[in-house]
Parts: sequence; C-alpha cells; structure tokens
Amino acid sequence: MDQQQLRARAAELGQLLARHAPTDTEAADLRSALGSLLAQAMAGAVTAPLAWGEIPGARLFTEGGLRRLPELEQAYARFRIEATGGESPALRKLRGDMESS
Amino acid sequence: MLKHYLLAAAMLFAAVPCTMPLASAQDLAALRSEHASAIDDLSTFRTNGLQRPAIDGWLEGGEGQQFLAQLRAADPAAPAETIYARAVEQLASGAALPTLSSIDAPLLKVVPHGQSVSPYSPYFTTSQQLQGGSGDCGTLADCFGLPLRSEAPLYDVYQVTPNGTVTVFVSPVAPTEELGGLVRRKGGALQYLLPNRKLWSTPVLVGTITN
Repeated sequence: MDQQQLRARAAELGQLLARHAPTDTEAADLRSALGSLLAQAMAGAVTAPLAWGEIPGARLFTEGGLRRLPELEQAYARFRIEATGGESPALRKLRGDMESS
Repeated sequence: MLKHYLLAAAMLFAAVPCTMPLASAQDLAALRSEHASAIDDLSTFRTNGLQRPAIDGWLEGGEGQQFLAQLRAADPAAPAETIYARAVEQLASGAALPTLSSIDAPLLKVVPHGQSVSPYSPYFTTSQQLQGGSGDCGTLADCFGLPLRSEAPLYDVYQVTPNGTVTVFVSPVAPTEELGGLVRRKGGALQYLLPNRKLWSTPVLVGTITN
C-alpha cells in the first residue's frame, strides 16, 4: 500500500464530504458511512488492500443521486481505487485510450 | 400478462418473510430499530462479489472493452477514474463475469413503492427473474441482494425499452451482507447491466409486486 497516496486520497475525499454534507443528505450519508474508514486511512491503519465491496457507499451514486456531484464521485473513485490496490493495468489502458481519443 | 406474472410473483414471494439467519419478522423489525443509522447510511452493506483482479482481466479483453465503451458513451465528460470505478462497481455486484446478450425487449426494475428509478442505475432484470426464475432464494430482497434500506413490503415495477437492439451484460447477483453478517442475502438472480441508459427509454411504471 502506498500510504502517502492513500492518505492524500482520503484527505481529498474527506474535504469534499465536509463541504457537501451540510447541505446534501446523501453526501451526509456517505460521510457517515465512510467516516471510520477515512480515519483509518489517514492514520496509516489500512495496511493491506481492501476488497472492493468492503468500501461502503457506492449505491448512493448508482441508486441514489450523488452523481449530481461529479467532483465527489471522482474523489470517491480515486480513494476506492487506492484502497483496493492502486492503479491497475486496466485503468492505465483506459486512461490511455481516453487521452488518445 | 403483466398482471399475471405480478400475481404469480406475489404468491411466490409472500410465503417467505425474510432472508437472514434470524428467525422472524420481529427480529428484523428489532434490527431495523436498533441499527437505523447504519441501515440508512449503508455503512455496513457489503457485496461479496468479484474482485478487482478478475474484473481487470476481463476489462482488458474484447467484451470488457465493449462494456467500457458503453460507459464512456453514457458520460463522455467523466474522467477515467470515475468510468473505471463505475465499471468495477457494476461488475463486482456479480458473482461471475457477465455474458453478453443482444436484446430488443423491455427490461424491469423494482424500487420501494413510491420511489423513483435513478436515471443512473444500471441494474435491471427480466420478468422471469422477478418471478423467481433463479431458483431457491426466498424474497426479492434475497434474490437481488438488496440492502435493508432498499427492502420494502411492496415494490413498484418500472420498465425500460431499448432503442433498437442493445448489448447488455448478464451476471448472477452476488451474495451480500449487512450489519456485520446479521443479515445475509443469497443473491443468485440474473441481473442485466445497462452501462449506457441513453440506449434505453425513460422508466415507465407498469405495476407493483410484493417482497
């Protein structure tokens, strides 16, 4: 685990949640769901990659309305990717394809 | 025909009250009361589906590239991390990698009565699956691995229709758990993943069904 990267992603997500949670109930739900995990990440206590399904909150984007906040969704994605093992060849390929198209 | 299958499904699902290792609906009500906050914020809901290594390998192949192409077309402004996370999230909700299917018929989705369908939700199914075609799971919540927050005694059934023939991605719903394993769902129903809802009509309410 790249602890520095994970901490940066957790901080980025935490800041966006702090900004949106006071005025958005679903963002508040996401902050509540992730609070413990973000604290662990900031403390360096996540020492092995988590399973994708261990990180709560995704249904708030798919079945709820949190996609209206794309910056928050991107930060959630970045944190989730980092907490589950970091960037993969599949993600690098996707990024390359998107940059070249 | 719709009324027919809804009635049949209602009979099938009404017989089994809940899907967890606890015994009764009273237990479920007590859990809902005791853990209201965790149920509302989904903090303990876990999907025990595919993991990233298996998903990554599939995404790099031809079928995975089709899946990603639909996701990108659905939201051309979304950055790579967002598209990737959406892909993994949808695929990780399955117990196996999806098979591709070309479809020109409507698909269905259930939501708790009175709620609407998210314009972003990729999770749909067929009338056969709603009728219990997946086998031995008990309730809709059990068959489709729903969290307690999305479980209801009555659901509205919405239908979407494809704009022509569309490729969909079909996988069995993975088991889920909640509240540290106090509530477990078997999954097993076939879900039809629609990565690009632009290829489908706006959802239309077509009926109701019990859990």
